[in-house]
Amino acid sequence: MKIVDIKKVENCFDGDFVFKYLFDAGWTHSEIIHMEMLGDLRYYQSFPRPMFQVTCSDGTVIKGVENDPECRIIFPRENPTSARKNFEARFG
Amino acid sequence: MRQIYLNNATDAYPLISGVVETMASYMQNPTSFSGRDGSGNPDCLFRCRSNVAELLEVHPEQIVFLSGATHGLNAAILGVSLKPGDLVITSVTEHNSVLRPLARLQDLLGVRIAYVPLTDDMRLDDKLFNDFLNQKPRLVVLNHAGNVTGRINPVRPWFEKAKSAGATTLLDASQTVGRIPVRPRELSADLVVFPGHKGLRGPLGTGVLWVAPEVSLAPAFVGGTGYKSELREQPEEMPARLEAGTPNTPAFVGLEQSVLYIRNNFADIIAAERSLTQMLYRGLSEIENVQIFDGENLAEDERIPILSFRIAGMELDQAGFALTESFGIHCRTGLHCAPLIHSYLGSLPDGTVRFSPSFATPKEDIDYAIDAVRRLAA
Repeated sequence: MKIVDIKKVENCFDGDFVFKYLFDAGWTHSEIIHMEMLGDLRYYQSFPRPMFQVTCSDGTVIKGVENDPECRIIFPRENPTSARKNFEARFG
Repeated sequence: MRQIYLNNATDAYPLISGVVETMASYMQNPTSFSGRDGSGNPDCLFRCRSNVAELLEVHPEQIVFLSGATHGLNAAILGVSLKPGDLVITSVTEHNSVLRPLARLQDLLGVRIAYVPLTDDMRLDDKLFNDFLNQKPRLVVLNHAGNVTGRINPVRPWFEKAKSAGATTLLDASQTVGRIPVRPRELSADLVVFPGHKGLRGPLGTGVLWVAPEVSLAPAFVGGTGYKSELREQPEEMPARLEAGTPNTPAFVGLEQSVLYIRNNFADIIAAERSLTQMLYRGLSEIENVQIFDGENLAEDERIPILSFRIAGMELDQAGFALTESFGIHCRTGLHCAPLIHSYLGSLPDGTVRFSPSFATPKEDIDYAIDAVRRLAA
């Protein structure tokens, strides 16, 4: 999967560190399962639109919905720049 | 995916039927625009003003049209012309549109601010309020109902006492106009502010400031009024005194439609919203691991359709993401621009999930939302 677009998310919290990433394809079941290697994966398969959340070892949180090409990334306050670089290197 | 809208405390959706069409018709009609030189359709703002005035049971000349409640609250707070050392009483349940203008005057002018806290049972502290009144406040600012918990505050007796103590009383009715009766005279309010896009279900960019005839506000903004242009200063007459600049007429033309609908259906609207709120409260309160913030002992006429909660063991952001993206429930998470109340609710630092239905919300949507929270909490 390749990153197609990045948008900053404005909200009341963590506004500087929350981004929406658009990928060139939706997250498939197997890709979501594969993300377990990044950290703690929670996968809610029984929801109307199955969603997932991965908390990576560096504190980055990835949230997305199965078959949706978009996901929301919250980079840790402590090291947002390096965490962002790591994330984008993985999918860039 | 099914889409459920439970974010009416932010922006009402859908708009009342006819609002958009009326606005479009206005904007596509050239005679609408010639009204600005007095030859076209100058009555449309007056008609809207009259209808809003009728809803509040006040005189239309005292109705000031502004861009929203934030604009109105700034105009009211600045217009009182506070001086260094003046005391303002407000509460910890207020929105930033009250807290920030006051904080600014505290920094710039040395105005003093007293915040009425909440008691253990989530009521505004009557005893402390009375103590503050003994210090002769210039201004008392309270919301009619909080935008985090939906609890209706005891405005009338408090404003009566405040006026007896010599204070001007300002009511932030942002969450109540259109949802429950708001009659400024009955509430002993000198100033009332509310937006058009919440309870009134009108367009964004509309706000109202009502000023009691015996109160004179200094204009926070001055400029063109379309008449008495030869004067060096802002005309004294209301509402032009407080309405400098070009009005958002298309939006107020739309607002008139929604105000008419609300007025004609008010009893049904109130009954429907009370029923839906009770249904939502009962449903959520039966779910293990769900903490509802305030409301356990509230009667149906002590709250408006706003309900805040959290799911134990689930981060707020995760709950919000799941509700919106997985279940299609449009709601709001966070501090809701009312930061002070959260230290009393125990919901710092993140805040709460907030559901705010309206009379337009189908009962099935409430059932669906309760079921979604149940599944998240499982």
